[in-house]
Amino acid sequence: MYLLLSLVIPLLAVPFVYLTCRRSDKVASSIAIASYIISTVLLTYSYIYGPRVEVYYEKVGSLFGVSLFIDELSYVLCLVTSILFISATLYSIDYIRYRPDGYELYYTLLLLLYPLILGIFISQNLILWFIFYEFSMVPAILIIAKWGYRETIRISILTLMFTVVGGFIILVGLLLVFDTLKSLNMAFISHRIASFLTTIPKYKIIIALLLVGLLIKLPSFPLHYWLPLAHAEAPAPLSAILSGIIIETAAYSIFRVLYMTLVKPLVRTVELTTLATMITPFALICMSVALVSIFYSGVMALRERDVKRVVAFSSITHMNFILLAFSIGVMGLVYGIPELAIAASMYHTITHSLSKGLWFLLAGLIMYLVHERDLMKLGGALQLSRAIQFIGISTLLAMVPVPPFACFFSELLMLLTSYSTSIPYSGLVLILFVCGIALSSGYTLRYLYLTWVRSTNSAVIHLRGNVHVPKTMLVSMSILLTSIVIFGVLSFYVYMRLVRWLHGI
Amino acid sequence: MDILLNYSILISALFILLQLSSHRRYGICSYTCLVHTVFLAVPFSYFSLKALLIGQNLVKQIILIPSYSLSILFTPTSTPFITLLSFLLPLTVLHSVKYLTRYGKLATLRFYPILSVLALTTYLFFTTNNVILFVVLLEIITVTSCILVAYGMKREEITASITYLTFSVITTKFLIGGLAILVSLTGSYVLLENLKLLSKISSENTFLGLAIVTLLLIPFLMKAAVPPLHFWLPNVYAEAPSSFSALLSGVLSKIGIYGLILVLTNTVTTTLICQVWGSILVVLGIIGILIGSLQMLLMEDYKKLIAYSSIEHIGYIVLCLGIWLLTFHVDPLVSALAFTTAIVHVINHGITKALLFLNSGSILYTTGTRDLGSIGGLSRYMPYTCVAAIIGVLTMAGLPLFAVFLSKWLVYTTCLLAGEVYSVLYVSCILALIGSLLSAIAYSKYLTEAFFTTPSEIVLQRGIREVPKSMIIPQMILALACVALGLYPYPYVSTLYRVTRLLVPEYPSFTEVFTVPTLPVVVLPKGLGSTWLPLIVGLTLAIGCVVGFTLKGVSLGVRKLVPLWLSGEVISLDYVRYKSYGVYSTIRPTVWKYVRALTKIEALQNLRKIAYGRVYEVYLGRVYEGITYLVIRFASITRRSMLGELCTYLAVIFLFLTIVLTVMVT
Repeated sequence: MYLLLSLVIPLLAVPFVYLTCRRSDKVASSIAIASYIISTVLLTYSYIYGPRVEVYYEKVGSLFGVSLFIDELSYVLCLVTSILFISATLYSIDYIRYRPDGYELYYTLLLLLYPLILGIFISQNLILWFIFYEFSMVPAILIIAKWGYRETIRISILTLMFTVVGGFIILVGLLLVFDTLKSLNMAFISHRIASFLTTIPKYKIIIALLLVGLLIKLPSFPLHYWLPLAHAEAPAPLSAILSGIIIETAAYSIFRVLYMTLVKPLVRTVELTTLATMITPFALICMSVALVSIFYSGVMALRERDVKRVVAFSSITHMNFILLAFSIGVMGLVYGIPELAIAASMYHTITHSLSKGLWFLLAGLIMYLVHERDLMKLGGALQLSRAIQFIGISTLLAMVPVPPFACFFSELLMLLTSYSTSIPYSGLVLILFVCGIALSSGYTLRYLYLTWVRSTNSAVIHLRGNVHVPKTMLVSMSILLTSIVIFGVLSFYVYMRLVRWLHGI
Repeated sequence: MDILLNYSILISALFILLQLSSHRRYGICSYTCLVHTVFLAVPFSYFSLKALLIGQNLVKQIILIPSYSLSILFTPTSTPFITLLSFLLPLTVLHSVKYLTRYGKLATLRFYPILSVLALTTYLFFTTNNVILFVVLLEIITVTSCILVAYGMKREEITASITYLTFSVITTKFLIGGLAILVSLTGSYVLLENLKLLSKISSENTFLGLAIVTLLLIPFLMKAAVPPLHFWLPNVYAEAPSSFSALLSGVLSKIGIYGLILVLTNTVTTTLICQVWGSILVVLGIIGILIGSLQMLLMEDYKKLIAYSSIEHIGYIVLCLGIWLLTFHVDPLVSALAFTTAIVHVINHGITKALLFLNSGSILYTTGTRDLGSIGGLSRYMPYTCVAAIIGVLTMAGLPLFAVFLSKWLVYTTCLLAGEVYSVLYVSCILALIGSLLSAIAYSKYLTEAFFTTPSEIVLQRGIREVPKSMIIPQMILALACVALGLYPYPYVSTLYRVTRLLVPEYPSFTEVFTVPTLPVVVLPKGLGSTWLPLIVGLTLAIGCVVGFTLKGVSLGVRKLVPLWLSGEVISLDYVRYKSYGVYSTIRPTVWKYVRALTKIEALQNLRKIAYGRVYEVYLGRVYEGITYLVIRFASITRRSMLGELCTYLAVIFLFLTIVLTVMVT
């Protein structure tokens, strides 16, 4: 009941937000934030005291089913979603005033996005998951179309096209699963996974379809074209949500739908040689795609001049770090190695989500104050006030990354767990991984240098001393910063919880 | 003492909180930091010295939160570093109290709490035995030092700080990669266990061992600023607040040496790694010595001059470590001597360089300029600072009766003795001597330009006075330490020899390596000259100085000060002063004459053509430019792909889908 309520309560708040927003957007955003907090409390209650699974309608032979569940990974991601939504809504209050009119629709769409994303994390039926996964892009695309910066119509249509095609490919995969098993409940599928053994080529086709569909949203190299455009032209709070949560839902889906449901259950039922033939190509494709994407986006980010597009390319790099560590973990599965790398990549999903959200908010703040997008003209933007200096430098250091920020620990854990002598060419992959991470630190430091050090052709010079930084923005960014530091301090606790959960201890 | 150590993190947290809460009151905040550093120095140096004296590792617990504690390990290897840190930290903090007022507006929050964090993490770094903590603490040290370097928030300072951050962050990734391989092989996160495995790996699979060692060494070579990775150093040391430069140069660059020793001691059993890394370190050390000393000669910025001197002296240490590796399997006496020399030089250089940086900070505090050409004649206004400078410069130049003399003497001896094993190493001795000579000239430039010429206009206008007592006291303590270590080196050299002996128990005993004369003035290695040689050299130098001064009086007669005859023209006094480039401008024509003569020889011309044409243009030039060009072309071409049509993207998606399907199914 609590899980369903947590999805319904934000929907109930929609009319209130829509109506009050005409009078005062502050009241509207506080109603929205209150509904996020209530949902989070309900989720927490359900996670701690149970029941963790709620089945409303499940029947073998029926394509449709409604069942919700929550576990360690879902809960942490829901928590992160709530933190990001709270800070994005707070941030919007002052930010959206300098964008086009129609705030009531903006807050309503933002509020609608929240239960759609939560639904991805807590739905147990694959069709339900698919509906949430596809529909979560709709409010985001609408917001880009109306409140975006440049070429908004073209970019929203492009994004829509990628989403729809990806959804179509996933749907074909799901229908093939249904064809064999007559049900799309995840628990059911993982119990009956042995029935795929008679039709191994079909299983491989399913994996390939789901993988390509999910890689579109992740995104990896040849399928990434929508991301730098959509993330860079969206209004900053939405960029934070897009880069912070929506692409993380793709990573979550790879963990949950591909790995936990379709791949991992094989280990119990199949002997190792058959397992190797079934999942080695999958891991190899993931690994090669991830490596290509890391270097491609790293080079692009190194050359980029746009203040938000660098951050967007950085998202591609980091999501592919996650994919790379994940694929090494899957390879390890074949050789009977504990799934430490997968736990580390799950943890990086969480930390990257918060840090990237914060970076987009920082980029939005710079654009809000200076009205300039060219990085070469933003020298000294971080020195506009002491608060910006503190938050800005911390944000960029959190992405470089250095301790005590959470991303450092997750990258450290990913690197420390991604080598094994039994996996062939593991050393080469590790070296490339190290180089990719060094590249990502490199362009983050370039960003820090370009925005922090004063330059002569700066658009910032005439602003010095008379900027007014809205308090809501600073508060929202410090909420995120605090949560990053808290996750950093607790990183080994969270990581060990994930490892224990993965191994069923 | 146990209680102090157990609660050290909790009490440090209290100290840091106190500083954060009192950041509006500068005095309280700064002196809290001072008390904190003294507080940390006591238990850590006590236990590390105890570990050295009883000759085994000490395992201790530090309470983190109630019922959860952190296990730390005091090893004899880290003792010299911890002792140096505990000695230098309080002095630099004391110096910084008044020094920071030169920045105008005080930003206490950006200095003292961060310095406290840095102090705690550095102590923990030297004592930690956990792989993850090792990396995390290394990164915290880097970040806090970067914040301290950028204290003044000027453009140059921020640039220097970000350069340092870039170098360290990127090289640390390689360390993590190396540790990842080790961790996956041992399955444990205990640092020493992982490093011990290194010797086993390298004996079984030398190539893998060499790769891991290379990965592990890169960040430490960068921290120590060994040549190809030294470009960050001059700017960082020059732009940082001088008190912090003293700490950076005195202790934090020694983290690199500590890391080198930590990694290399576990791989010395493999001959190939010894030879490869030994020769690399020797070459890099010599390059460091030459680059450092030549650049020192050219510098007119006195903080950069001292910074380059750091590169030179790290070069001596790295050279000795290289010789230690090269002779490890050949001659235990030489290798024991080389290793001891490296550690002795770590201590001597740390103390002396800290003294010189504090000294230059005092000059910067009073004059406000870093240009040697525009200051002069400070000796009559700042007598104590002048005394400290004289002692520091004489020590650094390696004169007898001062600390560095012994370690430089040991460096030359090591090189000569190693030359008997590999005769190529005789060259290293000559090059080290040349470097030492050049640096002595450069230091004399620093001393005479800043303190002994006629006062410059800046000095006359600003009304220079002696710096406050809190800045003089640390310099005096360090100067005393220089003299004391120079006069009575036996105790600390014999104590440091225990480190060598504990690392490799097969080494000969102290008395077999060193000859201990009856006079407690010098300690000499066996096998080279008499015990009285350094005394004779020192006495000759002293007599020479006395004779020189007498002769100077004889030749000039009575000194008179005559006003300049300007023929009525108005000329600024600085225009006719002896400038700092005078030191090398007289040598330059002579050197150029020989260089030109050399370039006229045809064989050499061909060689130059080949070297410049082939090596530089073809290999370096084309490769580097080619890569950059490719990156730029690639980025600009692929950027256009963002402007494509919808159907193109659709085609790309389905093409990719087809490829994946074919790969999966076949």
